[in-house]
Amino acid sequence: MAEPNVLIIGGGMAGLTAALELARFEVRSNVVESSPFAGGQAIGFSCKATSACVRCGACLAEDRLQSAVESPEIRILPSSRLLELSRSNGPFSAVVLRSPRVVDPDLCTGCGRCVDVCPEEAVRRAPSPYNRPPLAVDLDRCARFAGGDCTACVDACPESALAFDRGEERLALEPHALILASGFHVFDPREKPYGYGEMEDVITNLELERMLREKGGLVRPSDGSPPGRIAFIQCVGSRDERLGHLWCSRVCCGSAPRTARRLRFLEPELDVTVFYIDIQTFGRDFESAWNELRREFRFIRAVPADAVPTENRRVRLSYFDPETGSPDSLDVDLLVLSVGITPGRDLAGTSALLGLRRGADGFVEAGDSGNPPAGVTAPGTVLGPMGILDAVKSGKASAWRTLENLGMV
Amino acid sequence: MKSEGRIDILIIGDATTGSGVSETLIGKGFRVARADVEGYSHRSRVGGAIVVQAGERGPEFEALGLEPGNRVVALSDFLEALPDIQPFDKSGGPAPLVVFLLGLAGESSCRATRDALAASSVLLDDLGRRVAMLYGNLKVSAAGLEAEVREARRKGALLLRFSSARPTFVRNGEGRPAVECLDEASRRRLILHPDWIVKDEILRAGPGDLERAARLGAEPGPDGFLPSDNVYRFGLETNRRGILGIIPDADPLGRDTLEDDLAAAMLEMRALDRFDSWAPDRVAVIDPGLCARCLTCHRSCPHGAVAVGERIEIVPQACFACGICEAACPAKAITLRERDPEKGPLEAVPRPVLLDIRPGDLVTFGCRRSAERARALCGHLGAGRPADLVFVPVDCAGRISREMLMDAFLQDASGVLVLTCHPGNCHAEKGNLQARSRVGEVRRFLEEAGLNPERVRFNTLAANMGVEFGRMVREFKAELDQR
Ligand SMILES: Cc1cc2nc3c(=O)[nH]c(=O)nc-3n(C[C@H](O)[C@H](O)[C@H](O)COP(=O)(O)OP(=O)(O)OC[C@H]3O[C@@H](n4cnc5c(N)ncnc54)[C@H](O)[C@@H]3O)c2cc1C
Ligand code: SF4
Ligand code: SF4
Repeated sequence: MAEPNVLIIGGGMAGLTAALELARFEVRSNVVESSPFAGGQAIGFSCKATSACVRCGACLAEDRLQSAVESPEIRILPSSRLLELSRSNGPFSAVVLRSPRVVDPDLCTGCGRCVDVCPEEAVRRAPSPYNRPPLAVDLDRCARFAGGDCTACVDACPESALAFDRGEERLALEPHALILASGFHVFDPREKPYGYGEMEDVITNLELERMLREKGGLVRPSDGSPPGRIAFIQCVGSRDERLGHLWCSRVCCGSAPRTARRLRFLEPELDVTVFYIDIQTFGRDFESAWNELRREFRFIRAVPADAVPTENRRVRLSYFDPETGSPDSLDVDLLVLSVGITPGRDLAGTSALLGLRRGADGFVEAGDSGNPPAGVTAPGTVLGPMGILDAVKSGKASAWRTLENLGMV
Repeated sequence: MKSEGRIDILIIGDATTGSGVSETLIGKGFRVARADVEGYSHRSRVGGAIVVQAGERGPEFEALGLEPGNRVVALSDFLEALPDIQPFDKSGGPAPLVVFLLGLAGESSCRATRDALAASSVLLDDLGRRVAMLYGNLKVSAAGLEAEVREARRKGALLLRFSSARPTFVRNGEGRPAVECLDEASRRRLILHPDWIVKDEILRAGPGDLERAARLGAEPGPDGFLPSDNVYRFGLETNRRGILGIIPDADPLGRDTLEDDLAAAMLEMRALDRFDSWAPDRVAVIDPGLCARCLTCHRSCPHGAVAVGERIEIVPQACFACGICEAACPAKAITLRERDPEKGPLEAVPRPVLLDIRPGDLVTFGCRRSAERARALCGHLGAGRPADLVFVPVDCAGRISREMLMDAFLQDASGVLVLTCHPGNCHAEKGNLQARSRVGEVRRFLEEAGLNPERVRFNTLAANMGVEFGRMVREFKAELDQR
């Protein structure tokens, strides 16, 4: 086989790791990434370290992304998607559609002048400096793209990196193997009675991650003040029969306490309450960690009925206290919803295109039970909820199976 | 290229659990041998080693004040007894009750939940028994478990959760314990009279596991199993290249990953095969003419790469070129060397030198994995850093020597900031700690020389701490400017 190459769909932890491992065997890969920026969810996360690393795994995102971007064997195709796929004998035939490239990755230095001048706030900064390009224009917001004649960003760019005349591209590829690593969709908590989208100080754990990464601290979105008391509600959109989400999202039980500790490290007076159903094992020292955590924060084993605004602009949670056996309420300055992992929005279509089977929960079935066609593997959260380290390991396993399929090991 | 008779993988560890692993590996064409710790050294004709850790699984009855025997059993023993339990004849009164205790003493595991659910379904469907599950934290994070728990409840299993309180056990006349507890949901006091009490088992590393890790010079995690939980080990690799750790029989974190573990392990082994024939691009080399045989390098190398024999030598395949030994060697006998792209001879990797420092500059030394990335993110986020910051990247902070820091002061730097990974996050395990002690030495040095020791500072951060990078530099700068 001349120069084997692999098509990877999704540039998150699983996809990038698969690409990096294949590169160790001098196998080239194209990583088709639907968003303008590779790195997946994890590239927006923050470090939870206190006086030492707490093994959240978030910093691996920068490691994976930088290594992949710098690898000569890996080509990342942002703002792209797989359009067609077929196979007769030999390699697959794939057509990848790439959205118009407004920002030239070779010219853009990331200075951000376009961000400042755009009247539509359509220019987005990448989560990481290692994204290429480090900025992208959101074409759904851009006035020029909608047919207007705005030239604000083009005029502001000192590098002439912006251009609106580069059309869509169709790339024809002939991969010898495919890896579906398109990840997960974060649950949208609007359908839960916690006032998300109505009260500014009700945020998701994902928004909290990003706030910590980009601001280095926690403030109330409504007025920018530091909160004195916060609460986390676990399992929002997970373990929820009414939603038909009969799975645990696996990562939030680690994320909330680690984040709480980080916040307490930054702000020793912060009062934290965690509403939970069961705490799942996270970390290799979980037993002792859990015993300490219960002393450090207030853990209430209840699913709050609702969250409503109070007169003095706090958030009031109503719940049934299992310790006292009576209804109770708690007013907090900020409420964090630990939203869960759900199947990718277009996973039905993509998995069908690749011939992968999905289980009753909507995730791709793992291993042989998923009956993958020869040359196709699926690592990471397309298989179901898992954390960064497991997604990385899953990406490695997928690279191994791909090398086996290619007859290289 | 592989030499004749070479073994690809040594299996070190428990014989019984290891067998399935060996079969898988042999099935994939690896040449596998089983050995004890002594069988492995970087110099033997062995590609790598997988440490297969069985651990020890115990019901730990005493933690709940339970006495085993008389139908008080461990979950795995109950699974064995299950085939011999006869269906209950409904006409003979109320169905006997089987009580499962999960996570009431020690944290439970997904494996225990799965086993208890499987047993329950047989008890409920085929054997006419009643089932109650009493649990602390019910572990349901493995695939499919949440749905199975709900299915068991539908079939009539009684699920009782315990947050802080615990059930108590009282023996009745026949010596059978009755279970007394408060049901949190209904606030009712319950007394159960089970026919069987089945307790989950907790997996822990045994003395054998710990001893093996110590003899291999491989860093275990806080639970005693290999590898350590340093995230750069990816839950598979140890600090010693080519030695991997797996726990086939367990998924402490609720993962079902043996298949993935093995696939990732085989990948690593094949990659190292190739690596063997490439030889690493960067290694530390000892100059035998300068070496004083003090063994400082041997003690300080976090990767077990320094072999002590007739000569003290660094085994290239084991070396990660962190440079800790280079900075530590009192005789200055060690230098990092790298191959040029044409795979020519090894050339010295220049020690970071400070060019173009202007008097009064703030000089920051930072490792590439954490500090340099945080610096890039800081710039990207526009989180502001002083323009007159001189940043000196090093592959690992362990390479920062006292001389490098002093050199900055000799060139009239106003201050020196050393930024490394957080404790526990250093790829070389202790490059960051090493750098911290160098900073300590320089502080003392400055003090003795009558200079302000606050002019050198040590901080830790992670790759994603762009804002914090800016803050650390600005704060230090402001303090220096005040003087
Ligand atoms: C709030 C929150 C906190 C978390 N905290 C932690 C933590 O502290 N520690 C931890 O270990 N884990 C944590 N996780 C889990 C972590 O996010 C995942 O383990 C990780 O992101 C999984 O990586 P992945 O590659 O499987 O998927 P993703 O990160 O989802 O990456 C998939 C990529 O594929 C792209 N894509 C999607 N569809 C397509 C398509 N059709 N075509 C092309 N590309 C596509 C996406 O844009 C994305 O870039 C957290 C998750 C959440 C939601
Ligand atoms: S991001 Fe997470 S894994 Fe990395 S240093 Fe911080 S706490 Fe440790
Ligand atoms: S450079 Fe690091 S890994 Fe290599 S021998 Fe020296 S201390 Fe060991």
